[in-house]
Amino acid sequence: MLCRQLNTTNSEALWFVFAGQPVKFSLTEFYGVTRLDCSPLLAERELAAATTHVEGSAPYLYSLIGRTLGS
Amino acid sequence: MTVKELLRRLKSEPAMASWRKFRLALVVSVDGILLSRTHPVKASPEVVEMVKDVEFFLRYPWGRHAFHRMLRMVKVGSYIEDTSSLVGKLKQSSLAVHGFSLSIQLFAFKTIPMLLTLLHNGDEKETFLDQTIPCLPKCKTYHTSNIMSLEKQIYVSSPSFISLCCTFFLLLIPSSIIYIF
Repeated sequence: MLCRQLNTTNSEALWFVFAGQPVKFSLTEFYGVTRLDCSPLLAERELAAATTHVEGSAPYLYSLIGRTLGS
Repeated sequence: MTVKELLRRLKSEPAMASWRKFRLALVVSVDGILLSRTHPVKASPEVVEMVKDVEFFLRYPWGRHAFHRMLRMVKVGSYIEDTSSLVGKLKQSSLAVHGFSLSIQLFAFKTIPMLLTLLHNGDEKETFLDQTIPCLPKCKTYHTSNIMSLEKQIYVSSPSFISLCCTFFLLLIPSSIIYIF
């Protein structure tokens, strides 16, 4: 399937060829098979705040797995 | 920290606090399944940091994120320099796919249902929601020749479908018009 891709200018979708017919795989089809939440991503700033720990505090991993820094 | 290691902890520590267990399971599902990237699959610091706020974590559009990650690795296009490099790429026996690669497979089965006839137990209807799956069928890779022959079958079947449509259409046209033709 992946070796049968068409080179398209659309960067948001994959196009394949099967039995002479083009097949499109975009976010819509992805949602169709997985039913995962595909709503727009958050703004960069909001995301950065949620994905990084505050300077000076320990990363959340340590409290999650119950270890202290350096152990 | 690898996802495997997290899974081992989840299994080996039944007395783990529920908040911790839940969050670790979330990290495992997202980093291990949806966004899998490196090998061995590791928990990414960003995802771990996000799981601090479970509400936020659950609201996050993981679907879109996983799709974009997959597209970045899978999509042909910007990586093609010239024909020989493309040929070289196509000659590889395997390809690393980041993100939720299973979705492509599911999509293939959905759009080309005849692929299921190549599967050993393609007609089984049990899903993971059924509690009594006797055993999971072994993952089987498709032989290219099988796919090619299937493709030919479809090729053969589609023209007949078109002619069927044409006949049906002609039947709808009043006979006088057909006479003119």
